[in-house]
Amino acid sequence: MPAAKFSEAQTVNQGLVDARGFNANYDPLKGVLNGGLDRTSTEDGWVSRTHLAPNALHKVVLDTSVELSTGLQNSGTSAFRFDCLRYEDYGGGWYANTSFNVSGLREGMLHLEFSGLAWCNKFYTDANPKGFGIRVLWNGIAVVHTGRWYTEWSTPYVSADFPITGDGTLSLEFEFSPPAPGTDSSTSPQFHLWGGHILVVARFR
Amino acid sequence: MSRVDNTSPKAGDAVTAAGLNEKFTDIQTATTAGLDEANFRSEALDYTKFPVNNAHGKTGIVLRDWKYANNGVGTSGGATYTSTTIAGAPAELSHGAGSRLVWPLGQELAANDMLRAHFWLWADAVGIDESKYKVAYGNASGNPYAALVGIDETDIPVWVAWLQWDITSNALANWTEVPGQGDFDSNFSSAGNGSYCDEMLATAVIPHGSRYAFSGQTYLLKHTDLPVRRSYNYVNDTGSPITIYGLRLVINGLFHPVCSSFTSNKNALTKKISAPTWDGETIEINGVTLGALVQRTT
Repeated sequence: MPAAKFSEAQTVNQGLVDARGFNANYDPLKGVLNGGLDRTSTEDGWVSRTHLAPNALHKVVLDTSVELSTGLQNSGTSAFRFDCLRYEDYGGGWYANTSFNVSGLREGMLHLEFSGLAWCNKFYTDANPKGFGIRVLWNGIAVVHTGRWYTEWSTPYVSADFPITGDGTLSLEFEFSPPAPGTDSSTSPQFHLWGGHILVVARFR
Repeated sequence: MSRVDNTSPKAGDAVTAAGLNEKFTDIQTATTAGLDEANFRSEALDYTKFPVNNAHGKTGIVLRDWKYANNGVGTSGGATYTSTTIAGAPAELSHGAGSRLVWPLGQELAANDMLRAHFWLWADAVGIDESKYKVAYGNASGNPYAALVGIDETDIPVWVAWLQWDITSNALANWTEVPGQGDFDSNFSSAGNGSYCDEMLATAVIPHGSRYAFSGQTYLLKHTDLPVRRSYNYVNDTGSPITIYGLRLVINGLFHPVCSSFTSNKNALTKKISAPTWDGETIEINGVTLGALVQRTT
């Protein structure tokens, strides 16, 4: 905010008051107040939560319903197994399991996390050491790409931080070992993914 | 809006003391608890304008609070837990001298605030009754437990660890499962006790072992120094504030997968209660770490 400069027609005692002189001193002050205050005008540490509009600094999106696509849960009921993925419906490769749009974003950094639970059928491991991998794509580009988990029960967790320029589409994909010919049943349960959630925290520039 | 809108005097106007004083009164009015977005130019708020605290960063603008606890145990020498087939309360995972996450005065989780919890642990699943699991690849004869782990693919059982909180008082005498989490104690009749898979948002599964096959034989791989990590996120959508006094981890086992008429044809994890059962087996849980953030979502 500019300091008042009484460089012309400063009003003095018993002096004549001139409109032009008065305006020359007064109008700049009025102009600064009307949309001209900047970082030099205010003291430090005064901004609190009440001064900020919603989502002024960040946006959060949380999906708590991530599980194996229902279209792949076809192995049937059982007293000792899940109803889950079978080779009759899946032969290997990346499968787009979960996808959603994230809007209301601006330039900044995006933090994402995926945490879930998984089970692999490890019975025919001699011929097929089964495991699964996870990757997450942002606008079609993989921002997280894991190796494989090979334990029978797993609690996969991945996270990533990357720059963004605005809205985008997030996609969670998995890949599972393809069947070993002659040994793996096409109808037995092979892989299940459940209890998952995806967290997105976008911090704006 | 606090603009100063007044008419400047022009040459020839009569200028009075009252008229000039009114101009300054207009500024005084606008600057007395009235400045808002209409008065500030773009990028007027810099980092230094936000309250900062070099000690903890909890200004309340985004982050409201965070806590961390560790039981002080490394990858060995932790507590041992024993499996059962009966219903009942889980065991608390030892948090040692670091104890649980506790807020003696309570931590408010306002409407639309988010609780973010992370936990990880090291597991040694070595207390295994191998007679229940050893089976010749494709040959069940001579093995009394063939019906359990036989040529028809059946799974190695699993331990489960999950989060509980106390939102009643700092007496910490009323632990309940966090939202989206079951207690693994629902009765599914002949299928045993457990929880549905859609009630496991704060659950970590810890394998009791893994199978592998070699040269026509199936073996049980015992896991040692197995790291397990899980995160849990909850946005308070109740419309009212929740006060959290504590967070803790609990463990129970052993469970197996099921999807039958007893579980309404939904995927679930339950304790096997028909012989041969999986009771009396043990797991050692070592370094346990629990951390939590409370932050705003808007």
